[in-house]
Amino acid sequence: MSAGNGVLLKLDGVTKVFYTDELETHALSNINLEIRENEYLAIAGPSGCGKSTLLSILGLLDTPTEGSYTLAGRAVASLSGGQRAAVRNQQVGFIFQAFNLIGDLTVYENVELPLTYRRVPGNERRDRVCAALERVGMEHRTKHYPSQLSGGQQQRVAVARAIAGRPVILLADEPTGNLDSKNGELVMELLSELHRDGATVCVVTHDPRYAENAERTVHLFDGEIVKEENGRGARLLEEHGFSIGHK
Amino acid sequence: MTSFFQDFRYSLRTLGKNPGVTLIAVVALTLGIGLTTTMFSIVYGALYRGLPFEAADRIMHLERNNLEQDIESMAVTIHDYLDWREQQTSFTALAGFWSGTVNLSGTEGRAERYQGAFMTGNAFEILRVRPQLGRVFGPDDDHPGAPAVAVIGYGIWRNRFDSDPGIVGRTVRLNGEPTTVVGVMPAGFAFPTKEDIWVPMRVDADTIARGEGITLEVYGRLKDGVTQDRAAAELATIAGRLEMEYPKTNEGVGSIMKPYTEEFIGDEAARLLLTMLAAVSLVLLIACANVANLLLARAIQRSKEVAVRSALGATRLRVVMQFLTETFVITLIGAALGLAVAWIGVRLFNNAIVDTQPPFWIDIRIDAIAVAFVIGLTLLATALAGVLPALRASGADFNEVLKDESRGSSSLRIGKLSKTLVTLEIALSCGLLVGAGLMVKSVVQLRTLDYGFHTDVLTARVGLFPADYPDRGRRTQFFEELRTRLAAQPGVVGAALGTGLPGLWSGGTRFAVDGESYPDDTDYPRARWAAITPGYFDTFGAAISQGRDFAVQDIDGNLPVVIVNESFTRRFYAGESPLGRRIRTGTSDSENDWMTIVGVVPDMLMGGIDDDDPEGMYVPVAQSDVRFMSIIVRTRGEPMALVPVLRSEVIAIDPDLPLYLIDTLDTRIQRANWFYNVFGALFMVFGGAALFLAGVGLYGVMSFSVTRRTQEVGIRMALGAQNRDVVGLIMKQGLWQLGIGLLVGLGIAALLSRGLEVVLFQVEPFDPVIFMLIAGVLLVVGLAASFIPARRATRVDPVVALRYE
Repeated sequence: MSAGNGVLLKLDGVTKVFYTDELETHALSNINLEIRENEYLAIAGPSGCGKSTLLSILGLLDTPTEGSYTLAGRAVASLSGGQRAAVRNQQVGFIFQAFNLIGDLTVYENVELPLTYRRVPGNERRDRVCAALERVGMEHRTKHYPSQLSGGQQQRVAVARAIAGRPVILLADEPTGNLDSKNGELVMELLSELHRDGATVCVVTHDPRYAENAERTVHLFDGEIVKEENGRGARLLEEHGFSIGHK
Repeated sequence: MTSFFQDFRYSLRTLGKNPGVTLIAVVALTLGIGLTTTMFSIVYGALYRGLPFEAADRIMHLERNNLEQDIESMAVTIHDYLDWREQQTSFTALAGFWSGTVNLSGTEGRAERYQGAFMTGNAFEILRVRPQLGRVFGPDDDHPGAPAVAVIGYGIWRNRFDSDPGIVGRTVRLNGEPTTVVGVMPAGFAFPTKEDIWVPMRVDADTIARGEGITLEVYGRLKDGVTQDRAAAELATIAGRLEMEYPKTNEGVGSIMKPYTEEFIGDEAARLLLTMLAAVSLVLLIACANVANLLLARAIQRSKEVAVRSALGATRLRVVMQFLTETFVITLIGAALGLAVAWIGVRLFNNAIVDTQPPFWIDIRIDAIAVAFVIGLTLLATALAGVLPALRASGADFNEVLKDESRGSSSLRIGKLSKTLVTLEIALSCGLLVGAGLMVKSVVQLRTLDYGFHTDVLTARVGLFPADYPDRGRRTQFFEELRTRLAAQPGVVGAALGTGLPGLWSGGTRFAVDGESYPDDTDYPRARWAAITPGYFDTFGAAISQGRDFAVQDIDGNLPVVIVNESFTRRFYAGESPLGRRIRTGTSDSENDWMTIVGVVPDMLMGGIDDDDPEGMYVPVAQSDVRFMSIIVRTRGEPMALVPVLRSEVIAIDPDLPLYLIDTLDTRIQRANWFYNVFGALFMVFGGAALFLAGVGLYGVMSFSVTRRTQEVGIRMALGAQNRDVVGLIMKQGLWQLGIGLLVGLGIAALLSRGLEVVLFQVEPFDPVIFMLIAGVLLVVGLAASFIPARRATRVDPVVALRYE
């Protein structure tokens, strides 16, 4: 799955410019970033620094203006819309700040949705949905609608939806932004558990407490990476004799 | 009231800020209200405005029936009329009339033919009308031997006599008889239906055997306090008494009474008009559903505004009133424009029927009643289109709405109510479009009908009256001389005369086939009957299939002969050659001669284009006693170019003889069947409007749905949905509505088509091709209306959509 040396994802000189009328806004400038398999990366920075834009590019929701992007060994920066949709569906799991569950679908149907787009057979779909919901502790709420759940529960369902497709990377955009601190901690703990179980996780957050959970934190400011540091997760790993390798 | 004006001002501002929504809503209501008001004005003018006389709803029409002989209605014999008049106590009086040709000639211009009424002396008194000049008839004017007098219409007085104030007392010739003009009726008066001149009937009942002679249309004015039921019961009693007294002539004869105008509109026409009104009401319903949907969508968009208002203390009623005021403003604009549409529609309709000479009291116009109707429609449409959105907008939990942004799920699908409304629109449109399709097919069938004979022939009508043509010989001589003169004209291919014209109408008669026996008079078969001159079939280009045409030797004193058509041969001779066989007109007491069949001709639509009983026979004019004939001339060039020649040839024989109904046969057939064209066009307008509104409605709802589902689409795309998945998602919603709408719509169409049966020509009410075609058209329109927003949905940028609120 990786491109070699355990690198799952690589951005090379990525720039993103938004054009509005005659105004050019450089959202990202010359971003070079690698994420290794089973790494837990946090992208931090103040509001408007380009965190979400970077995550959108990582999740193939958006395309870079310049630069290259390799995901699991495949150059994906210039794929067509349909090809990007397929990559998103099979290799990326999204967790949004606003949960983004579909209100008219039940919990079960929401989690099933990406598998439906992948044309996964019915039996397998059912098994994977149940497993994902069990993983986040929401198996007892399959027939509920999102409006019948608390914010924390909704975000757990969103996590289940993200992992049901067994993506190569989980991308979480401010996953605690709409939650109280208790539920926020529960969700971050869930992401840590998923990471410990082998998932590659990339979280955008402006909350230093949650960035601490990651092995590595990339700090963005005005669209540029200004600092990288190891988080508590990395220190914990190092304390246990593991080494963290990154650019 | 202050709050109403506040709401009114706010509504104008809000509507101005949403010009697209406002425009669609106004167009929808303009069409709905405009077309409904047009049809209402037609229905009201034709069925309910009534006679323009004092207390005209008390004027009743009386006739007879004989259900034992399956006769639902028949005119009243002179003796029955006299007995009814004598014995009844429910009416102020009873009067009678028959309508017919009145030839007016004199020194003031060429002879002209008018539609006249031959009336009893009390006819005007019952109507309570006064003449513009002179007097109307008195009780002595209809006595046998009374001096010949006439009352003329305003049009004749103005056009023929240059509004001569000294017209009263002047003598003119009516049907060859010197007659004194005693009065002039005011403009617009054309009683009984569309008459221009009135003459006392002067019939001596004593010289006529009971049950024979002329028959009358009878009418009377109910006395004050007498109900219709009571009068009808009394008439039934009198009819029963006459049956006992005169069993030979009155056995089984009953009486029928109904409001006067109902008799001349007819049940079928009334049913058709009411069906049309019901149909156009569907257009209004569709328009209201459309507007309701648009307003529902806006209500959802404005839920936050309403929540804020509620949080600030607005009561639900206040919010409802605000939304209703907005609907009222839209409806008011639609009503004003709809009134203009109705004004144009009524003008177009009146122009379309001007040649059909409808009864004089049919007065179709936009008047105070139409305006009152529009006001009623405005309030109704406001309620229909506005109440649901107002209740929906005001019924939301404002607390939930205000905190909605903190929630993370997207519950953005368009509501069941909107979907139901669109489904209803599709269903109603389907019904209307099937009606329109059936009508259009009728018109096409009529225009492409293969008559089997020439219709591009010149026709005219002429009538000979006893004063100048007292015997058969004189009349036959006139007809034969005219035919010979016309046939000799350059450019004429053929000329003939006949009592009836193919494709229009011919009379009918009972008859006996030689060798058959008939137990009862009602067992004698019926067939169409026409007296014709030699050359009739040749002039129409119809070939004789067997035997021969009539010849000049087929006159009185020679062998009585008859030609029958192919349907006649099939039915009465099982398809074998009938040549040499004999038939006789009349029933058991007939004293007519047996006629020998000498020829067989193709069927020529003797009973009109939609004739269910095509069997017919033709007899030679020279062996018949007829006074009114149609002239037929086939020319090499333009038929109407021969009119001056035709006139001059008639004048050359008799300068006092007017020609009337001068036109080509084709034009006369088209005119006789005007309702196919007029009602077909009306239905096409209704169907077109319905299709437009349903298309716009479906597009609007789907478009709004896509807008509301932008975030959902973004989520789905983020999760890997391909374009086809998104298109499928959106179109599936549209297809459900289309499918259900079409199913219900075909049911509505089945009901509607039954009401239209009377104006369908050679088209089955359940024509499967039309039903399927319309379903197909709606499907295509519906799919297009769904596909455009669905395509738009695929262009959603997931990054933007996920930030969408």
